[in-house]
Formats: sequence, C-alpha cells, structure tokens
Amino acid sequence: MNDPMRDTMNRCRYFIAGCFLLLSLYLMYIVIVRGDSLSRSSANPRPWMIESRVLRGGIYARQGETLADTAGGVRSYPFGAVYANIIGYSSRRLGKSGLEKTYDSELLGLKGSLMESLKVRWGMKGLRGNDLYLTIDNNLQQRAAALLSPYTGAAVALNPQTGEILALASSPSFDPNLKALEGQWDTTRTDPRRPLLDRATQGLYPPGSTMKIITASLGLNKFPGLAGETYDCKGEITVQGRVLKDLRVHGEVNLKSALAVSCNSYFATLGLRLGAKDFTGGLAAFGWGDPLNLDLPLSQIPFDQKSFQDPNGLAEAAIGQGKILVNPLYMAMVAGAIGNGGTMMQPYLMQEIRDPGRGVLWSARPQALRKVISPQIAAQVKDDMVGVVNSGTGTAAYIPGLDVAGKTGSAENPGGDPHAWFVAFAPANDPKVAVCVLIEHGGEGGQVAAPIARELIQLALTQGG
Amino acid sequence: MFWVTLALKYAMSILFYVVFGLTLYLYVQKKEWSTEKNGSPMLTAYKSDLQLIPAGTSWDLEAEMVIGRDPGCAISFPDLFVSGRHARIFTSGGACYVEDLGSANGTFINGKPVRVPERLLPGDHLQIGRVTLGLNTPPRGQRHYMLSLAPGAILIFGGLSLYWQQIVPLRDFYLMAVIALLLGATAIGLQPKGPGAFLFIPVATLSALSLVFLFRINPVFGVRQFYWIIIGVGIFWLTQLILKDYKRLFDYQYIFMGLAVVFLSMTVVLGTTVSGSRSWLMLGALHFEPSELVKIFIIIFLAGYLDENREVLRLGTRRLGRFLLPDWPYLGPLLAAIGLSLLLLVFEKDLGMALLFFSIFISMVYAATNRLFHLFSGFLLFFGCAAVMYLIFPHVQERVLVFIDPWRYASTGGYQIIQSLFALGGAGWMGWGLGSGFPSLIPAVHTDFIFPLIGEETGLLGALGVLLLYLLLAWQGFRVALQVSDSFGRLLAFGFSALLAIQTLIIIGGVTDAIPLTGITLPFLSYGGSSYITNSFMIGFLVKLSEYR
Repeated sequence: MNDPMRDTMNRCRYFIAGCFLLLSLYLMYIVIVRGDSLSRSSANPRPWMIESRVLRGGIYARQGETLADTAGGVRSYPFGAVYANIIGYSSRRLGKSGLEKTYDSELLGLKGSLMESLKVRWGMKGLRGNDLYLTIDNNLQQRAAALLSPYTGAAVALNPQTGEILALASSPSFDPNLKALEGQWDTTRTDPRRPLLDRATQGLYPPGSTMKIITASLGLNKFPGLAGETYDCKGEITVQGRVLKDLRVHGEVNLKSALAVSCNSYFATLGLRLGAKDFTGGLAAFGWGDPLNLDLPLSQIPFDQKSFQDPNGLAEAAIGQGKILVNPLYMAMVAGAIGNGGTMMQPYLMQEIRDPGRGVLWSARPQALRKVISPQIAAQVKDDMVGVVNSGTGTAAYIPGLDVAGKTGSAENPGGDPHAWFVAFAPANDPKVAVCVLIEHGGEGGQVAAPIARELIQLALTQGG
Repeated sequence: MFWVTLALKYAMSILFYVVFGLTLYLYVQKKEWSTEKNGSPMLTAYKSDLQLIPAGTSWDLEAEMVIGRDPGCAISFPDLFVSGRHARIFTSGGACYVEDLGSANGTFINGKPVRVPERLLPGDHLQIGRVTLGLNTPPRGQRHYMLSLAPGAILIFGGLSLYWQQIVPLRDFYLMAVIALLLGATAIGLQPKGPGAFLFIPVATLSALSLVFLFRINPVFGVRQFYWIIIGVGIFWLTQLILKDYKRLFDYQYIFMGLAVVFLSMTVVLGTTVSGSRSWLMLGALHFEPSELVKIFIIIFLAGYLDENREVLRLGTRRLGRFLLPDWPYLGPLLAAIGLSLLLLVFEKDLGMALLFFSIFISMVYAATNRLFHLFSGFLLFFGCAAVMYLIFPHVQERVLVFIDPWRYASTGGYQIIQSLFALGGAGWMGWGLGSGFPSLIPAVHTDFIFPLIGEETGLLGALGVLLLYLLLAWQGFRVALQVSDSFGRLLAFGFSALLAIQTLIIIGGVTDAIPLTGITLPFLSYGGSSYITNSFMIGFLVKLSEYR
C-alpha cells in the first residue's frame, strides 16, 4: 500500500485539478470581464446578423419628419448631411456613430422589454425596433445648416425653459447615406476641414467677448452697486507689463455700455477686482468642472484653475481669452440660463421612444441642471444684453418689434482671423429660444454670426417653437 | 408561442446545470461512489490502548484469520497481553465465529471468556488484550437512479427543443430518444459497480450534450454520431466482459508498441489530409483516425514497460555530473518508441496528438519513477523540440503567432479563435438558448470547436459545467488508479485518466486562446467515430480496473 507511485499520482491529480481551475477562471474572465468589448468588436459579425433579423426603428424630428428610415434592408437618411452630426451613420464596414450608436439597442428593440429582446435574439420573424422622436425642429435645423454652409462653424438653438435642443448644426458635414459614406470614406476621414467633427458639441474655442456676460454676472453678484459705477476706458490696460488692447478708446463707461461696446479694459479690470477665488467659484457655479451628459459625444470644457492665479491669466480669462475654452452648445446654454432667470436646464435631444405596437415607451422630462445666478442678476444682465442688440455691437441681430438679448464675440486665436461668436435669446422677457452661432475665423461676431442668429430666432419664433 | 419557445430553449440548459450541480454535490458529500467497499461486514477496533492500532481501525473479514502478537498473523497486535497466536476468527455459512487458541490472557465476548468457538454477532464486544473489537457493517452507498436518468432527460429536452424549432425532423427526435434509453439503461445497469457508475455518469452527460449539439449543427452529423454512440456503448459493455484478464496485456506490451508504429507509419504513407493534417486513413467508405487507437496502444506499452523497469529507471545506474541516469538498455527503447511516434505525428502535421502523446509520456514516466529530474528533463526536451519545430515548420510558427495576437490575423489564421472568443464572450451566464447561437461562423464547430458553441448557447454556466464534468471524470479515474492493487493496472488507469484530462485541457485551452491552438477532438463531445469509440474503450477499461482493488 505504501507505494511511492501513489504519492506521485496524487500530485499529478492535484496538478491537473489546478489546471482545470485556472481554465475555469480564465473562462469567467472571458465572459464576465471581456464579454462586452468582445460583443461590440467590429470584427464580430453576430450583432449584424441579429440586426438583419430586425427592422431597425426610424428616427423622426419633432413634427414627425422622417430623418432616418430602413427600407429593403438599406438605411437611408433623407436629409443627408443636415443631420449627420446628430444622427450619425450605421454601416457594417465602418460601424456606428451619433444617435445610431447611442440608441442602438433601442432602435433594435433590444432594450425596454426582456421579452422583445429575447425574440430578437431568437430571430422570431416580423420584428420592428423602436422609433426615436427628437426635439430637433426640422425647419430650424435645415435653415441653420444652409446658413452655415459657406463657413466652417456651428449653430445651436435650444428652448431655454426646457432644455430641448431645437437645432444643432455643424459645418462642413458629410453624407451619412451608405453609398456616399463608404464610397468617400477615405476622403471624408482625411479632409483637413474635418467634416466628421461635430463642432457644436465637440469643438473647443475661446469664447471671446461672449464670456463677458459671465464676468458681468459674477461682478454683479460680488458688487451689488456695480451697475452704478463708472470706469474710464483708455483704449488699453496694462496688467503686469502686458498690454490688453481695445479696438478704440471708449471713454467713460458703465456696466451696460461696456457690455454694449464690448470694452476689454472694463471687463479685464472687473476680472481682476473679482480676484482668482471668486472668479473660479463663479465659473464653477456656471458649470465649469462639472461634466455634462448628452446623448452625443461631448468635449468637456477644461477648467484650468491654476491659470487664474496669475493676474494676466485672470484678466485674459475675464474677456474670454487665454485658458478659457468652450463648445458652442455650452454657450447656448449660458445664454439660455440668463434668459431663464438664472436656471440652466439640462439640454436634451430625445423627446420620446415609441414602440410601433405599444406606443410611447419613454418620454423626456425637462430637468434643471443648476442655478447659475440669482433671478435679479439674470434680469440685470438680460437688460444689458438687450442693449447690445439695440444699440451696441450686436445690432445686426435686431428684429423690429421684438426684444432680442445678445452678445457678440471675436475670439483671438493663433490660427488666423478671430472666431466670430454670437449668443442670444428672445423674446427677452419670456425667451422661447436661445441660440449660439460660431464661425471659425469669421472675424467680427457682430458682422458674420449675428445675422445668422437673427434668422434662426426669427424662424423659431414665427413657427411657434 | 413565446413562452413555449422560452421554456424549450432553456429547459435543456437548466437541466444540465442541475445535473452537474447535483453530481458535484454528491461527489463533495461523498455520499455515493466513494471507493470504500460497501455492504460487507468488517472487523473494527472500538476501543484500543495501543498506539499502533488506533480506535476505528478496520479489517476486511476473510474466511479465516488469526489474531496474535506474531507479525505473521493476519491481524497483529504489538501487545504483551496478547499471545503469539491468540485467537482465530472464521466465517462459516455467513456467520462469524471466534475461537481461542489457548491464549495466556484469554479471549472475551461481552466480558465472558471464550472456551469453545462462539458466534460473534453484530454489536458484540470482543476483547483481546487491550483492544475491544466488534463486527461492523458500513452502510451501503446510496444509489441515485434519478441521476442515471439525467443524461437521457437532457437528450429528450434537447431533442424536443430542436424539433419545436424545426431544426430536426421528428425522426431525429426518435433517434435521440433511443440514445436516451441506451444511456439511462447503461447508467442504471452500472449502479451495482459503485465507483464505476460514477465514471459513466459524466460520460453519458457529455454524450447526450454531444448528440444534441451535433443534431443542432447539422442533422447529418447527428445521425452518424447516433451510430457511433451505439457502437461506443457496445464497446463499453464489451470491455466489461473481455478485460477480466487485463494483466495478460502486460506480456504483449511490445506488440502494442509495434502496432502503434505500424498504424502511424501507414497513416504517413497512405493517409489523407483533412483540415491541414494528414492523419486520416480511408478504408473504402470508412474514414478513421489511427492516432486515436494509437493512444491506447501507447498507454498499454508505457504502463507495461514502466512497470517492468521502474526500479531501474527510478534509481539510475549511470552518473552524469550530479545526476544518476538510467542505463541505455532501459532508457533506449522508451525514448526510441516515443521519439518515433512523435516523429510520425509531426510528419502528419498532427500537432495536437503530438503534444498529447508527449504530455502522457512525461506524466507516466514521472508517476512510475517518482523522480522530478525526469519531469524537468522532459519539459526541457519538450521546449527544445518545440523550439526546433517552430524554426523548421511554418505552420507551427503561424500557430504561435496567432496565439500571441489573434487579432492581428483576425481574417486569416486567427479567424477561428476570434470567432470562438466572440461566441463565448457574448454568452453571458445563461447563453443564448439552444438553437440561437451562430455555429456557421466557426469553422470545425462540430469537431474541435464544439466547446465555444456549447458555451454560446448554454452560457458561462454550461461551459463551466462541461469543464467540471471532465474534471470529475478525471478525478474519479485517478481515484481508481490510486486504488488498483497491482502497479500495471495502476499505471494503465493513471494513463487513461491523465490522457482524458490533458486532451480536454489542450483543446479547450486552444479554442479559448489560453495556449496555442492544436487541433484535437474534445473527448465524447466532438463529432467522430474513432475518437468516441476509443474514449469509450478507455472508460470501459477504467470501470473494469475499478473492480481490482
């Protein structure tokens, strides 16, 4: 019985059991840890095979216009490039992007009902995915795309009281219809104008003078008597030996007139008076450093607090230059927040998800994102912004019989001409629409961006939002 | 409609989870199929003041046995109060009697001295010196007929599901039902064998899964496997009849080695190339893979040779530096035989078999000689050979490169492995349900790559269950090996168990990219007659060996 062979065999037995254990752990790792990424891999034909069993749901604008539809196994986008930055594409070869990617499982009907998703998995016949209804106003979006088409830039329109995004256009764009997309993929991808970039959500630009509405709000918050104070603009100020210039000598200005003429000296000085601590705190109240959620990929705005410690950096930041960078969607939200009494609403694109058979599965509810300033200060800044359009740099956005509150911006940048900005909301007392227009290297915001904003506001208000 | 589909898609998976869960539970609890001899009475020491005979020690009851101080006695007590030949215990007509052999200190039953032979009843206290003994009948192991029927139930549920989904016609369902009956009857018929029954339950479960999934992949494979399973179970029963005298195989060890070499050479010369390796022989309409049969020949040869020469091989007679090596006349035939087999397999490009043979060779030599030196020199030799093959053969290089980064070869050499990873990775805990996976995406899904499909459709739980069944099968096989009374039988049982375990590890590790992929079948699950029949023979052999304790 005391054969040494038995000990050896026993050792081999435990060794083999150990190998089985390791292999089991490795299997668990494959399924539990790597499962998701394996299932989503572009080399995996399974999702496409499942997809081919389902009629992918449609995507519709707020008035029901069809934006994306599948017929005969082919996905088509009737408005082509107008919605490419929002809806994206769905290609077997190139994968998915935009809402097609974010809402993939909803469009395929895999989400929302376990029963439905099992039916899809099992390939039971005659299944149709869910339809998406967007907040986008088709007329506004088309007009925005058309107005932007000569330029490189972005335009955003939203309802400041709800956060519904009415238009989100980016130029240049691309045709997401499969034939064009796959056929021209290499040229589209390598195009130096970067048509695949959604400038409205992923672009990052210095806000230039549009930043002054934030600096003004912070100033009014810290110095309640600010509106009555005056300042003598000499055409430039020197901060620690560095000169910040104005376009001309504005002379005696107060807050309202400084905003109207966009006086750099005034707001740089106001920034320095606020100090690094209050300025930083104020930006945080406006949402800096707080990641925003959206159904599309979004560039998070940088929050370089260290740069404000230096008076130069602080003065530059106060007039929207230096280390301050934002995306156009965010600036539309800022304008909207001023119009909405200081409350910034969560922006959203998805109004409803509907099952063709069972009706509405999900619908959006407006949500307040944050309170950026008090209603009193918001009202004061709004009055000052109305002044910008009525008698300041923004007169190109003036609409007779309507109070439009706006602010121009011309953001200096190392790439060439300044970026032209215009943010606005209207009607000023009960805003139904807030817009932001950005034209890359467009020069003066008041000349290029403001007329586009004016048209969008007019269109949005005449058709009743 | 929906609910029926739901139920049928998952009924088989859930039944399978329950079966392997229950099998594991019973095994861990040792309620069943423990290898203790059940049902026959034993002599047990109730109380003992002797250090060498602790209370609880048991002896099998034999026809006649003497208890005394002499070491030559069947039961020897090193106790000065016990006479050299103290008492005799004998059985007659099913009853047990005690006779005092004129001891100095006497023999007592329940405190009364034994003068004439007296009957010892269960519960009586027999006192000899400082030890109190008694008759003790250990409880019989429970028999689990339900578990014996489980493989059949898996087949029935699987068959119904496939029929409902219109994957197979009704006729194929009947074929599955026939196998269900066959497996159930065999499992129940084996119950009296105790440990043998346990070897068969995992095999029957794997065979059931195999048949369901082969019908699911392609009914043509299913129908053929139907015949192979019938033949395999037939071979299994045949081994129970013809292997009574397995020790005689010992005398024919060299003949088996010769047969192995002949079969392999024939394949090299006459073989047909199937999926890259020239490992098939075609005899008319019959295709078979000789290397499967050769597995058995090699194990019989190794067991015989190692048993005959193990002392010489273990101790070694030649000095090489610090190490003692066996002399050439002993080591030579072994190395020549194995080297030749490996060389032939390499010529056939049958890398999986070569790896398997090598692993078996190393583990059997290690088990027989108990020398780590042999294990390590075996590994060195392995890596040496692997390196040489890597340098010489482009197909070996490709396998290794694909193993290191299959994604770089996603549309060429790595396609199969990547599809296998997709199938497993997307399965989740419960899988997609029977009939909902994508077998058409994985080449060779019915043979080497059946495991990822089972994982895809029965989930992580199913995949782990399959691994567990193989482990339990091998574990019980090793247990048989540890208990076989003669060392030839022990080496045979060890070889068969190690072979099944290693083959499973090689192919499952290969399809999951844990080790380089080498094509080889998954025992009992993969489609194929040569493989199924050979493996049935090995299990039959193990069950037979479990009787020689």
